[in-house]
Amino acid sequence: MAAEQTWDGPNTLVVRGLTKTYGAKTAVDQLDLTVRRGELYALLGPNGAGKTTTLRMVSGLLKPNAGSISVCDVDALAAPARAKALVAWLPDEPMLYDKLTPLEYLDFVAGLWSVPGKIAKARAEDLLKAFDLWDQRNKPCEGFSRGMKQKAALAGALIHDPKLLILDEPLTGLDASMARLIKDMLQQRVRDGGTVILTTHILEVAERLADRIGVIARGKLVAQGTLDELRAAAGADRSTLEDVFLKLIDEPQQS
Amino acid sequence: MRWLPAGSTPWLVAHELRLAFRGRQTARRSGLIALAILGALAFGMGLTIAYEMRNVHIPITPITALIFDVVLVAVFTLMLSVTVSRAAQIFFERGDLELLLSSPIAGRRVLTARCVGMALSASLMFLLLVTPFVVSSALLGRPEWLWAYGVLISTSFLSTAVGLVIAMGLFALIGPRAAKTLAQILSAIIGASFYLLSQAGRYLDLGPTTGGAGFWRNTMTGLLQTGLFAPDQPLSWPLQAMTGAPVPAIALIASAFTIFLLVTGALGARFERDAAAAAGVSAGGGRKTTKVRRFSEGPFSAMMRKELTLFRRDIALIAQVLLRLLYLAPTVFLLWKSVKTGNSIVIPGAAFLLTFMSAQIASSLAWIALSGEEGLELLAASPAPAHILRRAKLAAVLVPLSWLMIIPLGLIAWASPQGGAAALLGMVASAISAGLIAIWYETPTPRTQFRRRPGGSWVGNLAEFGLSLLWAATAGLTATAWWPLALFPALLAIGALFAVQRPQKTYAETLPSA
Repeated sequence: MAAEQTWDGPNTLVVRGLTKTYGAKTAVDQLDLTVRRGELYALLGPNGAGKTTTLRMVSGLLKPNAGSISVCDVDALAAPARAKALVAWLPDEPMLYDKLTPLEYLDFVAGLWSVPGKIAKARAEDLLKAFDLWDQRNKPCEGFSRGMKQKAALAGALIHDPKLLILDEPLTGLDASMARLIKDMLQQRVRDGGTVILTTHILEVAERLADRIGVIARGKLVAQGTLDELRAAAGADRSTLEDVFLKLIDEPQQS
Repeated sequence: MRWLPAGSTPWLVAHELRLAFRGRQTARRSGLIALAILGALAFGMGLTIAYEMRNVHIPITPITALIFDVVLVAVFTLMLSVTVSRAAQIFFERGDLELLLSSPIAGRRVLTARCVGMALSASLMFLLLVTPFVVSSALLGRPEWLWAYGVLISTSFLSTAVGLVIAMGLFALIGPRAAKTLAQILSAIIGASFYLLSQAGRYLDLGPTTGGAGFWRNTMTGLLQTGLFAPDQPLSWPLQAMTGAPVPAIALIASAFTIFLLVTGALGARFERDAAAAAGVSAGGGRKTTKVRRFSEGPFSAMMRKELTLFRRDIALIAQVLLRLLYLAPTVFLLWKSVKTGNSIVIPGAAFLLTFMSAQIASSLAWIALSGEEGLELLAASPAPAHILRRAKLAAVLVPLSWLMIIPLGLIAWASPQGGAAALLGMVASAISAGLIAIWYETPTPRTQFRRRPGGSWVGNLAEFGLSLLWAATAGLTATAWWPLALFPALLAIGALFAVQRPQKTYAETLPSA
């Protein structure tokens, strides 16, 4: 696994022909997606478009019916454990154990990803301090606010220093200062060479943070690129992302 | 509910009952068939007893009154055990409490409705138990047995009132967090108290002529001599009520309901205050937290450490384990006495009981560790292999089990090395069986519901119980001079394990959307 840790290829994630069906319903339909190293990629789409399903397949939580997923050149379907070691998945509802303290939680997550104890302990301290949770490190998470839980979960996602950080609606329910803290952290991560994929309903976040934006509708990637490229694709120069987004999801066949 | 005036106490009670029973309506067809067969058998038995007793009229004498009062006290303690625990929980289980308390409905009314729901659920098991006999008797021309419902329901309302006073008293004395913990432990002790009391003669060194039976005979004789159980005394009213005398029955029921209404009425305002105070406090867990000195190395040790921490902080689990240990206490005393007197006849029985008890505790711990896993998605997203994580969970189960069983096991081994080896064999085998069943029949369920284990497979539950018995029989027989006979239950247990084996799933496969 050491080779993956020093990996420096151009594309962190390459998805080809990804398909997921539930009975007669096709949730993700022949989706192709490439996310570059050191990029913050925002995946937008209406409710039920297939964003979360796509990211859950990339994270190894769902098995696709067809297609391929490659994370840092590791085939995620053939070698899921090797791929998972490079990815961190943060769902919209933070996964925490109520009876564990943030420090115990980070110890547990670091153990799952086999981070050596000494390194994990140092990282946990840095992360808890960065997220302003150091004073709460020995208090059970059950008494935490949503924002504090989200920060603790994010610290858990970063404890193994993932190559690819995937966040599903990371800013939902957070106050302005916490949202700012998380946005700053994500940008810093990207500056340091990490790759971040996030889904959001807050288009302003995508507009301000993302290097590239993908728009997904009815299980298909209907457009992707920078904001200007999306404007061009939608034929809507000087429009806001909201106008572009609504146009793209209404007319997927034009993209 | 539509025909009840909105916001009234009956309307709130109907709301409570609807919520209480909603989760149980989704029983599978196999479960319903099993329930129907069980119901038919119970009614068959009830009808037989009712037929045999159709001409029997229980005489109201001091001895019958005393015996019935003892039975009723046993029922009361079991109900109280439930209501003390539930009364403490109503402050913490937020659910719709904040919605109700923020509405214009008086807090007293909310409390009354919640307590009525609690009383009815505490009496449900007993009502179901007597129904086949009571209904059959009524159909066979003895409708006075229907008063049994009144007696049982009034007992449950009384136990609810007492449970509420205890819970709110604890709340006022030691604060919300400690009150919940202590109430759970108190509930376990109350639940076992009658059994422990019934075994009192065994603990007390009363000499060879008295023993357990002698102790109780002397106590009963002493109680009868007080004259308090004569037919004209209030202590004979429960029996008179049960056998259909209207005045004692109405007096008993009216007293219980009056006490209930007085308690809920008096504590209503306090309930609002306490519930609001509890809202700011996290349920369970202590103020003291353990610092992580050294981080885990690898998934196995991380998972073991996490499970052991969660066991330690799970008050409901601790209370249940404590209850089982309390039931084991008389056996430990008996062993202690047999060790002192050199009487080794109890050794096979003790090996049987210890194995059975450790299987039950292992099963609870294994279920909570496996099916009660709260971070399934985290485990599924991690690169750690599922089999390593599950093995770590089972290893975590063995740690508290070993600590809990070391003293009784040591006592058996001291009295008889063969018995000690037999008990050790039985305990290890039964714990492994319980762990394997918990893995094969893993059903993701909220940790808090481990007592009910909803969604669990009846095959798994049956196998778990059957295997506990088979391993206990193996241990018991191994401790005797006919130890080769132990091969039969042991082989049966191994065969049963192979028969109920199921393939293990990955954590991703157990996720609801997988």
